[in-house]
Amino acid sequence: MKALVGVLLLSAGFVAPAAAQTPRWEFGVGALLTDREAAGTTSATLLSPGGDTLTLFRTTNRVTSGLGVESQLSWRLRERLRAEVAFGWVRADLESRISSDFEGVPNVSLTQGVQQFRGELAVAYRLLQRGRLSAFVRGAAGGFREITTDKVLVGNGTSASLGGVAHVRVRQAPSGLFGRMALRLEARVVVRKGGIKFGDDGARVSPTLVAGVVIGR
Amino acid sequence: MNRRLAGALLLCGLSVTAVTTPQAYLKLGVLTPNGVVGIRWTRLIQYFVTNRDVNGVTAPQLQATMARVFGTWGSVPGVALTHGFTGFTVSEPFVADGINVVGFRARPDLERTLAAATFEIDNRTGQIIESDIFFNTAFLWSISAAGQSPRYDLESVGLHEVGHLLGLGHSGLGETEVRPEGGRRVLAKRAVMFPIAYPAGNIEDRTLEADDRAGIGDIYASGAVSAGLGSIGGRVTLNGTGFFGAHVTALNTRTGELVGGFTLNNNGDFAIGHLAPGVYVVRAEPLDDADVTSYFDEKTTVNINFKPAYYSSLVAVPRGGSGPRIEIKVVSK
Repeated sequence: MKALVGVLLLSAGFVAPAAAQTPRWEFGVGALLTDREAAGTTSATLLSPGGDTLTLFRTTNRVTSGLGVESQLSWRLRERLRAEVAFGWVRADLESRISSDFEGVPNVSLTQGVQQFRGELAVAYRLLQRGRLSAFVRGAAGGFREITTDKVLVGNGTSASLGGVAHVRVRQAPSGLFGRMALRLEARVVVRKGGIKFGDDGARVSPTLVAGVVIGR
Repeated sequence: MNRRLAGALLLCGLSVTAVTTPQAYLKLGVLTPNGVVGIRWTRLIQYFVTNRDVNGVTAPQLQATMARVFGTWGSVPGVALTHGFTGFTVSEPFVADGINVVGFRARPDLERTLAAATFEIDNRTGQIIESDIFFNTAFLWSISAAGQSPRYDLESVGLHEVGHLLGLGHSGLGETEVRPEGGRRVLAKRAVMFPIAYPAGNIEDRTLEADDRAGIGDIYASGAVSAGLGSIGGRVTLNGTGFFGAHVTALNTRTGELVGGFTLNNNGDFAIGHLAPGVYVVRAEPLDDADVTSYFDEKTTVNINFKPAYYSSLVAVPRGGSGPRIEIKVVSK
């Protein structure tokens, strides 16, 4: 996934020809795949008379990789500049790996399902158009809400992302709702802050892939 | 009013050596016609201090220390305690005289007891009527700000005993080892209410831990703070059957704070209250020392013949409520 981000960002180095404008509007939908996010370690500790700690057990926390869907609606601002609003839903797990149990309980992984509802505003700048291929660099900021699958806990947070988008045109008709159709492949690095109180409270970073189709005119 | 001096059940002391168990706060309770109810104060706690100086501590210094101790418990967010020093007295603690007395007594026969608290309770309502605290002059005491070995820190031990006076039992949040000369030595702990004190000179127990705060909050907290906290409830089962006396510990994965409870009936039911909302790891374990009298009535049958185990998933604790009940399945040793 990281390699793909590299390829897409490298593509930004190409000089775009003075090509046709991007479509006036586009609507896309696709599958969203998020990589796991580290959430730190937590130890259950006691204090010794000398001030040292005795660890009863330790947890290594993370949010597992998740799978979901995302839709985008974008419109042209300038010849190469587009604005975009995107909404996504991802199903993942909060996971704590238990280790170093003081009384010898074997290591075990405990999970709690979580749904993430994401929304963001983005801008995309077209760097390349060559044949059927268009390449964009995309930056976004937004927010998200996490809800455990048992609907007990809710947490809100903010996010920012940066990545590259490739469109491969598969249909170009002079008119009609589906006048222009393309495959969309996107790789982005997402930084999230907040959400359900789980593990450490630092920012969480995960590569994310989106693959789908867009239609537009 | 139907009163009784609940000596055996409700005499709670702090030992230099005692039993060990894992983590949990425990509320003191009394059996009423309507079942077991937690004991608590429902009126102003007015206390006297015995007007007698001892080696290292004067009566006014004891009074000042107790004022700090009550202030520490009263500073727990959401906890509303009303208390006040009434005056010095010639009365001794551990005398049923209708007043709350804190003082020193010489009890060399209690060679492992630093201090203790007793109660007089309305056994219909659980309301505490009178409570005394004594510090054993068989040990040396200190009020030094930094501690003073080989003297025991009066404020640390006082904080533990006032916890009892307020209705808390012993916490199991600690580990000990057997001493060659008998009894046990504390290796580490995370609760002022653990039944074994740190060694002489140590002042770590002047600060309440999460387990202590949860316990006192469970008894006395009210208002917005309490409404913003949650709980975990469920049962512990062995081969499908619940049982009494299992420790259940909840670790907050964000803060690392440990709070716990016990299964307190033969159905294996437990409830851990006053938890910050978040995601928790929940673990059940036996009282792995045969002497359970630091925690429960000596007539109580406690199952200690099972292996520690974690609940099979993470547990979400909401604000102002609890999630679905959980069942922690354990297996025999």
